[in-house]
Amino acid sequence: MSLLTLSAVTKRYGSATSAAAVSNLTLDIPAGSRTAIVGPSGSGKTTLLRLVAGFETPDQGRIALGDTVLADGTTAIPPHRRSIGYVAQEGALFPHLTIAANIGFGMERNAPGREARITELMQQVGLSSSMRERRPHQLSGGQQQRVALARAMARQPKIMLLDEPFSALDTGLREAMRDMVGDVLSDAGITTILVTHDQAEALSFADHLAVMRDGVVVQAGSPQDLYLRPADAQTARFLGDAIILQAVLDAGGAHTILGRIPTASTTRRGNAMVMLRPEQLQLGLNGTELGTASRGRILARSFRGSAWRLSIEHQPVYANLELPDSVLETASIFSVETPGVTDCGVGDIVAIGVKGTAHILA
Amino acid sequence: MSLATPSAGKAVRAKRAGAYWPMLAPAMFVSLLSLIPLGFIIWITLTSGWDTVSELVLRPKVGELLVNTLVLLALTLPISIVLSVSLAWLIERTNLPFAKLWSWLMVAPLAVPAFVHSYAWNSALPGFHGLIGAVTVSVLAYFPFLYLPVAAQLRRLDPTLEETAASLGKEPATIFWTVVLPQLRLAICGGTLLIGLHLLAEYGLFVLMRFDTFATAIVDQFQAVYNGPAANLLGGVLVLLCLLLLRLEVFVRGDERYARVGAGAARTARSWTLGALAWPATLLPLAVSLLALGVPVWTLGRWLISGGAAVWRLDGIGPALGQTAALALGGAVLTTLAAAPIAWLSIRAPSRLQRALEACHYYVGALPGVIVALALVTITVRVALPLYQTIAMLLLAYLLMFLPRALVGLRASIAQAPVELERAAASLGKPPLVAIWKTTVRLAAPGAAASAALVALGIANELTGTLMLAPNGTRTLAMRFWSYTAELNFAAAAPYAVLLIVLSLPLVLLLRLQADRDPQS
Repeated sequence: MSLLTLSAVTKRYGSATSAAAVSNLTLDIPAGSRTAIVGPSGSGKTTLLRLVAGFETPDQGRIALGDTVLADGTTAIPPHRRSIGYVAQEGALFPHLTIAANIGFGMERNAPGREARITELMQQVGLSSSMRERRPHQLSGGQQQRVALARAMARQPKIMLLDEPFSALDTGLREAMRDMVGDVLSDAGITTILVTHDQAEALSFADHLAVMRDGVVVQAGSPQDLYLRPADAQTARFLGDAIILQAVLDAGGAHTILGRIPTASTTRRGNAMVMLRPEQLQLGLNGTELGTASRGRILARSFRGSAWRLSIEHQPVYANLELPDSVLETASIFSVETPGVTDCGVGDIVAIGVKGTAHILA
Repeated sequence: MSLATPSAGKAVRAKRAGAYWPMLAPAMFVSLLSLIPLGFIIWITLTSGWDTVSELVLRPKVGELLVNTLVLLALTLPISIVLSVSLAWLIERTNLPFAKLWSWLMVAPLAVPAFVHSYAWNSALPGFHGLIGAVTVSVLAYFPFLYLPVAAQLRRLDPTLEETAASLGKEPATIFWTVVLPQLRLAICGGTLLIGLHLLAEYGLFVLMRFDTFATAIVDQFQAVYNGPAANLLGGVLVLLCLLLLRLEVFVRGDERYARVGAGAARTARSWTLGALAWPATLLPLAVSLLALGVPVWTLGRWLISGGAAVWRLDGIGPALGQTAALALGGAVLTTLAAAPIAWLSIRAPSRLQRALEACHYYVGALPGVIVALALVTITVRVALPLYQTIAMLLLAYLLMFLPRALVGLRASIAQAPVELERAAASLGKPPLVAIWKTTVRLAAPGAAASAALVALGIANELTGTLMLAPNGTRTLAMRFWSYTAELNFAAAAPYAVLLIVLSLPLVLLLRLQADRDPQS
């Protein structure tokens, strides 16, 4: 069941002829989900979030939260009457208020149990109660984000919107915060929408992922599904390293420069583009045979500690004569990681094998 | 390497302290100069003896001045705050028609010196004077000092704070009171203090409005009896009022921090749709523009037309323009040079000593020109008579009065040139002086020129101190204007008023640019 639905929503900044920031966008957010909206900068993801929060009014289309219509055409409920929580990029704590006053900002001033609720919220987000009377600028970036989260949760919103809330934090802290925020919101049963340009963050946070580009959602689904079966080459590359090959399809297989790779679909025939993730490649180093004819040469390597990142140039083999020339002659360079303990050197010839199936791009 | 550290470290430290002396010594000298007016007042009070003090200070006339001054502050300041915040909010945060035009017109009254405002009202409505007149003209002449920082702060406010408050269920009106207004507090405090200090120091405006304040009483006393104890002791009370006002501002401002936390990309703030209220709302800026700009322009226009070509007497205007330009330029160069060492130290070598010196520089700016003039007159008469009524003394008075103005601008412009650039230039093979010339001096020059211009414009419009200190025969534009106005020869004064306004137009531009640049100016 979807909690939030956006139907054919369009939003332009400036004149009616300017390019739409969000264009005829339709998206369902399932109740209780953790949805990540990911896209490069300028893709319209932040505008989408602001439309849901009510900071912007759509030019066309309809936004509904459960049975409540939030916006229909240009009539909209103002943000303060929507039960939607919002955590901004750097927390946006009120600099003139203490931490406790920040957290209690959205509560009634003399609501019974207000102080106890503030204490409870601080505990939930992992803030020590000794911080109650401090000021925002005395807190670290991570602590500020915790306060912002507690403040937004105080009103028990149906949906929590997170606008790149981790991007200003250090790498290590970022992952810890992301896990903490996800857990706290899941425990509270709040449907969450995270906007980010960081695909790794989106993949690890979300159980529902929507990829945006040029104001439209190009694909939505589970993170695994989108990673392994992206709709097009751009999405494939956006979500991680991708090896995209020309292929000729037959029943259940794709003929590529790496040989025949099985495919999930058996119906398509003829020329197509297929995608592999680099982790599907198997390398036979130092003369190890993999039972395949494909060979590559190591062009360059860089050490990452746990892994070597190798640039491998495929060496064309003219064995499989039933393929058209164009497929055979596509020389390709792949980036592949191999365990850091492996012994390998630039110029080595390696055998290349493929695990799993190739995904046919539309 | 590590073996050599102790001695090398000592050598570096010694070199550092030594390296700052060429700047510290002049900064200390200027700081001592700055303390002259305050020291003079303390000395006068201590040496006068209790009997004289009680006789001259504890009398009904002083009580009357005190009540006048306090009522003036108590009426002008709140009216200016409400007016400026309303105007700034309407112009910056709503879809008010012609917002861009209004935003300039609201700063433009600064181009009209306060005593010219007063002259315009006086000659347009001769019956309009006393407390009501003084408050009205004060608000119209000085409210831009509040409007400027408040509008600049409103433009800088992080809109995510308001959006977050909305997402927490707060009505727009509640958001204005609980989120927007608290963040304007620093701007409001700073602007109010500036207006308050101007009200305490202003002479010409209140004379024409026939409203007695300490400044008018001191100048009257001074012109009756040079170097009389009465004027000096009234000056002491005035200084006390200034210190109280400064103290009050520090207390109200508190030590809170209102800068935004974090440094993300700020979005432009949302603007409210006025709808049917748009045209009624324009009545406010329209009325203010008519009163603050329309009245002076109309009055001056009327006098110029009735005076015709006869009032443009080049034998009077020419020398006045020349003298004003010479004093303004000389004073500006001198003041900028005097401010340079402490400005440089405050950016490159901040320390406890430097902060103490800087505080000295700032304090004088808060003391009215009358006090500076009183102090210099008394000291030259008693200690250095040959310097009495010389251009040198007048320039020293300008230096003391406008030092803070020069310092603010200079410091900001030196801060534009991070020391890393000097080091980068050095690492690219430039010898130290060439490196400084090619980086810091180049980058700081436009800002330094702008702050020197601000000082020059201030000097060109200065009336009180100039009247008290100028050598015989000096006739600046402001002095000429003032003497014609005193003779009620409004037509002959008009060309001088026009020239003063024309000279002040760049001031408006510079002040507006500065307000946009400095956070919490």
